[in-house]
This record gives sequence, C-alpha cells and structure tokens, in this order.
Amino acid sequence: MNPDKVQERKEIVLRGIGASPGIAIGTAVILKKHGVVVEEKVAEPSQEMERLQKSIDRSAYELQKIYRTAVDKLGSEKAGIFEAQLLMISDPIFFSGVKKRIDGEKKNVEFIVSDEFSKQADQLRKSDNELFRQRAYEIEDVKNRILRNLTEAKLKSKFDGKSIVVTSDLTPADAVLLSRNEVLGYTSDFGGARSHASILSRSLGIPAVVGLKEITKHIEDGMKVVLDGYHGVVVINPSEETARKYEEKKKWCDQLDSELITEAGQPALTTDGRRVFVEANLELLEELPLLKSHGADGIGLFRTEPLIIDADSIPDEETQFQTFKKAVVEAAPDSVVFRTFDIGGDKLFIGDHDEPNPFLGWRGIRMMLDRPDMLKEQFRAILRASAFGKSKIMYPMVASIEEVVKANAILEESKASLDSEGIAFDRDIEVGVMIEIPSAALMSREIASHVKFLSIGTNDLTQYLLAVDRTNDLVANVFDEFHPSVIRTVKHIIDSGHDAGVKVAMCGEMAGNPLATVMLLGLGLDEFSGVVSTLPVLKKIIRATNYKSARKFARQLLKLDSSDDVKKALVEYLKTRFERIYHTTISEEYVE
Amino acid sequence: MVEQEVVVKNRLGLHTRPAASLVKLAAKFKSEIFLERDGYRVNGKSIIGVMTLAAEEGARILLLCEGEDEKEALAALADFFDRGFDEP
Repeated sequence: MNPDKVQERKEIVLRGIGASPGIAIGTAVILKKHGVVVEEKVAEPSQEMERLQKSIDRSAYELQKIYRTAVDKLGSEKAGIFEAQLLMISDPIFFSGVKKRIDGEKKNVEFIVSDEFSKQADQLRKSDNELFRQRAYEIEDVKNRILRNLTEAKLKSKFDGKSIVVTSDLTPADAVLLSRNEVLGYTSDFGGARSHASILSRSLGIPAVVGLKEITKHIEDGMKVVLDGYHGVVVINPSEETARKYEEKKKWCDQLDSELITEAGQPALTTDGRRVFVEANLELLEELPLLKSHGADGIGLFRTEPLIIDADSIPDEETQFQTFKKAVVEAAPDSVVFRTFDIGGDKLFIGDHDEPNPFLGWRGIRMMLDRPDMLKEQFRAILRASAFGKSKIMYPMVASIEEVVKANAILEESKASLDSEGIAFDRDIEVGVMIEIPSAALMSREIASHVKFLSIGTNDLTQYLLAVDRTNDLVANVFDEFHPSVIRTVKHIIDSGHDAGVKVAMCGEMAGNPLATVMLLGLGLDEFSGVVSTLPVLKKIIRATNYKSARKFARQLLKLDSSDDVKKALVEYLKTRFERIYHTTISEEYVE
Repeated sequence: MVEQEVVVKNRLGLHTRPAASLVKLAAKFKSEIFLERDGYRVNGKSIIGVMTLAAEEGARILLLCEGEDEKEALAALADFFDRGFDEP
C-alpha cells in the first residue's frame, strides 16, 4: 500500500471490551484466519498430496513447539488442548477421507481440507452443550493452521517489535505464540474479557481490546493503530492530535504505573490510621508472582472454576490440592480465600441441561449441595492445602441460612474423614459467605453468626437487585452498580457483619474500581479484593484518604436518590484529588 | 459384526481427553469400529469423528465392531464406557 494513502485515511474510533490494561501505539499486523478465502480449483492429485503432507508435517512441528512452550509457561493441564490438536492433525481416518477426495475429485487440497474440517466443526456446533460447541473452535484452529501452512506464509517475519495484532478471534495458541514475538498489543472482532485468550493476555502483560465486532473490516496491514486496553478503545489511523494525546497518556500511565508499583508494598493505612486490606482476585496460577509486586495482602477470591475449564472435567482431589497448595505457599504469610465451585449462570454447565433462567437456576452452592461428593472432594483439597499456608473457604450464591448450615455440616464430615486418615489441616480454618443474593443481604446479620466473614459480590448483587441480566445486550445499560439501592444494600451488609462481629470484604468488580474506593472505605469496608493490576491504585487512594472524611462523604452519598448523582459526585471527588489516576484508569462510560 | 448399546457415564461426557483415550484404545484392534448416536455414525479410530458425537453424560451410543477381533474390541470399549472413561 502507498504510505501517502495511509496518511490520508480518516480516523476511525472503535469501541470494544478492554481485556487487558495498557496503551499500545503501533502498526497493524493482520493475522488472517477465518478470512482465508478458499477457491475451488482443478488440481493434479499427486502434487496436492505432496503439498498436504508438507503442511501437516509443518503444522505438527508448530503445534509441538506451542505445546512445549505452553507446558513451560502454563503447566501440563492447560497445555492439554494443544496435545489434543496434535492428535487431530494426525487423525488417520480423517485424512484418508481427505486424500480419497483429492484423488477422486481432482480438486485443490485447500478446498477439500477446508470443506472436510468445516463439516466436522458444523456438526459440533449443532450440540446443545456449550462445552462441545466450544470444541468447534479447536477444529477450526487446526484447519486454519493447515491452510496457512499450505500458502507457506511465514507468520513470524511479520512482527518487528511495533506490531499490534489484529485478528477475527484470538486463540490461546495465538496468545502463547505472540508472547514470544514482542507484540505490543492485540485486538479482535470476537471474544470477551473472560475468554481464555484474554485472561492469558492479562497474565502475559499484553494490552488487549476484544469484541470489536468488525475491526478486521476497517483495517489493513501497516495502518497506524492506537489501542487503549483501559477503556476498550481502538483508534485506526489516528490524527496527529489523537496520536499525541495517546502518546502523552501512555507516558503518564507508564510513569504512574512505576510510581504505584514502587509504593505498592506499603500498608493500606488511611492518613488517620485505619488499616484495611487490599487483596487479589485470582483467576490463574500465572498471576501468583504478581501478588507481592502489586502489594496484595493475600488472595481475597480464588476462583476454582477455571480448574474445570482447563482440565475439561471436574479435577480430582489431588489435582485441586496441588493447585491450592501452590497458591497458599505463594501468598504466605497472607491468606487465600477459596470459593467453592461457582458453576452455572453464565459460567459453565455440567452435563446437558437447559434452563430458561440460568441465573435464577442451578448454580453455586445449590449445585454443590446437590452433589455433596463433589463438595466433599473440594473441601478435602482446600483443607489439605491449609496445612501449608493460611486458607479460608467461601460459599457462593447463598440464599438462605439452611444452605450455610448444610455446607458447614459437609465441611465437618470432610474434616473428620481427613482426621481418620491422619492427614493434617488447619482446625481453625475460617468459613465465609459471599453475599450476592438480596435475600442473603437482608439476612446478613443472621448469616454472619454462622461464619467468620462476609464477602460482597457486587456483580450478581446488582443483577438481582435491579432484575437485569447483565449478559443481555438489550438491558445491559440498566445494569448499574452505582444504583442507590446497591449502595444502600452494601451499607446494610457491612453494618450487619460488624454487628455480628465479623469482617466484611468485597470481591465484586466495584471493589477494584478506583471510583468507588473512597465510598467503600467510608461505608466501613474492611477488605477490598480486585484484579491484581488495580491493587496499587486502590492502595494509593486509601493511603491518601482520611477515614473520617471518607465516612462523612459516604453519608452524603447515601442520601442521593439517583445513580447519576452518585457517579457525578464520585467522579468529581477523584478528579479533584487524584487527577492522574482519574485520567488513566477511569472508564469513559463515567465521563460524559 | 457385533454391537452393543452403551451409556456415557462421566460428568462432562465424551470430551477431548476421553475421546483421545478411546481412539487410542480402538487403534489397538484390527476390527473396524464405529460409534453411532441417533443415526449419526463415526469411525471409532478418528478423534475428530468421535468428538463430533458431542456425547454428554447420559448419551446412548451404539458400538459396532467388525473384524477378526470384533468380540474383544467390543468388550474392551464397552468396559471403557462402563468405567466412565476413568473420569469422575
């Protein structure tokens, strides 16, 4: 392309989902995958057979390399998906079918390979079961690898240290490969913040914006791109002014980041001496090394569901124990809060069942109480880990006291079974409840009398209070965690917990949002648990705030009757006192 | 030709890992091996094929084996299903 033409092009701003924080400014490199146009041509079978074999060999070689890197970086459990792709690429039955068609139809190998793989992927997409539909992507991934190697395009030579990768959908294999190629950032048409590749990009520290819907339509190789992973914004062909604005912002962010990281080790102590705790929500073991550098006071939420997704099955007690042990050893002397499997809702289903209202259905502790064998297995794994470092247990999706009592009884059985086998564990292990259902919020005083701590889950709490499905685009704008009812409920939970003499934590998105920090501090929250990257920011704000003034400010906020007024007051507060934090971390949805 | 109906017993069904084990087991036999679900038939020695069955917990699968060691093959595969693919 003519470079002058690139300059002439109009600036295009696209909004997606900020999947990994950071700003990147660079040149677009398009990773073609689904976009491979396959033409149907007549071809000489013997030549096509040779090309097919070469491509299979090359693809197998690549996958072996990716597999080994993945084992190193991610562990053998997670690397399993690449092992499966290796098996697919050497599926003798499938490829004998392909060869038969090449011979019989005398058509080009691209066409036949593409057609055969697509048939299989389509078959999987017909399944009612989400886990199986996901497998279709693995088949597509193998297909695309073979097609790419047929054109013998060398991927790696395209990266020059200034590249921003643009693709329709990023696979975990891409993310691992890219991390070795000094890529500045990546963007994609599809994907969400919780997709496997997004989680990997956060762990690997590569800024990313996903879910842009049609970025691959707007962009060409070599175009200048600005990527803002904080706000989920991508600017193609930025004007000089925009480019300058982001260059400056990047400078700020980098400087602020290094300042924040330097100070992160200091305690979260207000100017008038109130000590709170700032903890990490952990998704991946790869995030463990970040705990200390980001000043985490332990892990306030260790999600156990990713184990199921990674292992593609319910991991056994030993596997769970080994994972949990790594976490408690790394977090020591601080504690780790293990949340029992929270499956269902938008998270994951076991087996084949379809619910008209999954969010109101069989999920969290409800499912686990119906599968006491699974719960016992998990309790035993957590208890065994507690012998190696301070561990706590938390129940998700509790609606009633009876559930807490039942789960506690199963926990006692698990302790007894370990005792009878002479296996060590922490006898004083603390148990807590996640407060995310309105009924539990109203009953939090009574629930607190059965446990040692409460932890507020604001995402579900907001969803259930406002009766809005947060995954439904049509009503997503109704979802508002700053709704006065949410804030008043949070206040009620904190007060109730304190009345009962237990600590109250928060592990929902709100806890990690710098906009909410002063308010939560003022409401009396004891522990903040958010994504690792946000912790130094929270600490900075807490350390510069006077607890008494925060309490006063919170009282004023509680009187407001509209979410807009609450947000306006919070934005104003942050903007005047923490201008740099405001400019670098606050999502634009609040700045209108 | 021998055949037998079997049921998927593990929690997450015949997903990638059990499919890989099943194919490896099938490859040990000389017989031709097929799996059929609701009339959709795949070759038991093809991992891609077996995956496309999308057989979740409780799915009924018809095993069909034909060849010199068909009885042994059928017994071994049926047993593998019966053990829930050695998964929870």
